[in-house]
Amino acid sequence: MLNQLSAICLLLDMGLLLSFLCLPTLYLGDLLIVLMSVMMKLLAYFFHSQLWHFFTKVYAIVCAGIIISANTVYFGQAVRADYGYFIVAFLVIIFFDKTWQRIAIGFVVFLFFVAARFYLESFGAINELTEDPALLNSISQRADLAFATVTAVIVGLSSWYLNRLIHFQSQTEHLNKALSIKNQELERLAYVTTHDLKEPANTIASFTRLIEDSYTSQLPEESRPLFTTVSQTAQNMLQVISNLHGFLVLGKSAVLSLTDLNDSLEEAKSNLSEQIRARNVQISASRLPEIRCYPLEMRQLWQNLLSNAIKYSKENVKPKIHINFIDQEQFHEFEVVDNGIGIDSESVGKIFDVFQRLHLPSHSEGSGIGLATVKKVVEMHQGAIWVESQPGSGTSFHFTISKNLR
Amino acid sequence: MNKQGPRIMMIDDDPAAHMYHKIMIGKAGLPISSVTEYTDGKLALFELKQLHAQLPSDLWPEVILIDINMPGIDGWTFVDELKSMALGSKLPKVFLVSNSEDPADLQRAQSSKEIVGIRQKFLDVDFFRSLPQN
Repeated sequence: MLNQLSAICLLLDMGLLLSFLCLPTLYLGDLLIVLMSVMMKLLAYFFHSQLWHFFTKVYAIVCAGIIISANTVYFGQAVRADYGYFIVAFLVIIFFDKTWQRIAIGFVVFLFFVAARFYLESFGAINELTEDPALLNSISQRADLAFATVTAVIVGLSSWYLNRLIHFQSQTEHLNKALSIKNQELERLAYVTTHDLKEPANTIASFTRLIEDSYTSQLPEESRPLFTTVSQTAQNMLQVISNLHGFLVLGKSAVLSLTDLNDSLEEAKSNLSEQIRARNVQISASRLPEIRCYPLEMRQLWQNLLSNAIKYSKENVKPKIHINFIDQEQFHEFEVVDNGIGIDSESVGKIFDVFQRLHLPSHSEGSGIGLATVKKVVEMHQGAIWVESQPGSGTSFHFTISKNLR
Repeated sequence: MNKQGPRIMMIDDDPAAHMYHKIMIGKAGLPISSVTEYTDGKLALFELKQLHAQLPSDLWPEVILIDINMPGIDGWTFVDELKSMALGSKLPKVFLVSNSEDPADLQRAQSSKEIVGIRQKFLDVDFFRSLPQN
């Protein structure tokens, strides 16, 4: 939005500049105004808020000065009208904050300006014209008058545009700040909630399991399945809360260090050894590098990607996972390829969302936080993650890690 | 048959934790009589200082299980206080018991030589079986 508006202003000025260059008589003053305006817009591209404000104010003052001096030289009679216009335009820019105020006052001033011109032309200049025998000269004077009008209007309009841009920018900054505070509050709330719920959930889950393990025989026969359901539900609840808590805590106290990713992958594998053995999973990897990263989080990344690949493997096929490393110029790229069930194109966009898993049938374990965790870790490493998949023949996850982590 | 277990001091503001752990101690075949429980870290510390003063004491705990997150004195403060008592060889085996798997806690525990380890709540039978018998 901002850049679009700036571009429009710039084009406007370029057009004006061209039209000036085509004129038979070229006035330095008008040319300067336009050049100044173009320069200001260019500056607007490169500078931000405070400087921005400063420059637009300087711009308004300089334009006022130039137009007044130019008109003093070329149209002695018109000076007062232009002067008045610029005083008001200046006030509009500096003192009126609301867009509608600027528009309204700008419009009034414009009308005043046109009226003043009309008055001058009909009662002053034209009277002179008819008395002046040099007709050509007077026609060129009238043309100059018209151009001065156009210039002033365009300068006024572009000032207004500039102010709108500033307004937009400061508003966006303000909103962004408010949004980031709200986000922090929400995250804090989620953190506290999961943290405080974890303890009672753990107590319920542990106690029900204890009763189930030790005292089932003493429960009435018909109440046993009911109790099993309670216990199961409590375990699931604890799992979900723990996972969410883990996700929120992720990266909170992360420290960068030089890490051998081969070791990190081995650790992840050993943490998953039970799953790997149960499905007889074959995991291979090309030689991985030693890189600057967050070691704990990297291990979680591997663990979640592997566990995801195992979870979505084909039932009657030996799961195979291969990890590739590609050394790019700006970043490290990794690829985790499996021969699992794949992901259909509809779901590809959703898989990294927190809790996506929960909406799927309950037969599959997990809380849908694994890939969200992976994405969060990749983002911590200023990388990107994407997935390529052929439903039925496997999935390959790609992710990158920046080489310039600080 | 009657095993002489280690004296265990349990500090946790949650009574459910005491209840659960006592059942596990029983299941591990250790005598419940060797367990003292506190819901307030300050009180536990006070008791410990008293016991330390009256040498020798057969009530001196060999194992301390302390919750990290507690109102008043938390696990870390407790360990710091313990450190300042300069117990030397009398120092009990301190296990921090935690509800969250915060890696920062783990790191902090590893860097403190007074702490044997961090365990997740609740402690199971195997934990109590693994405690040194005497």
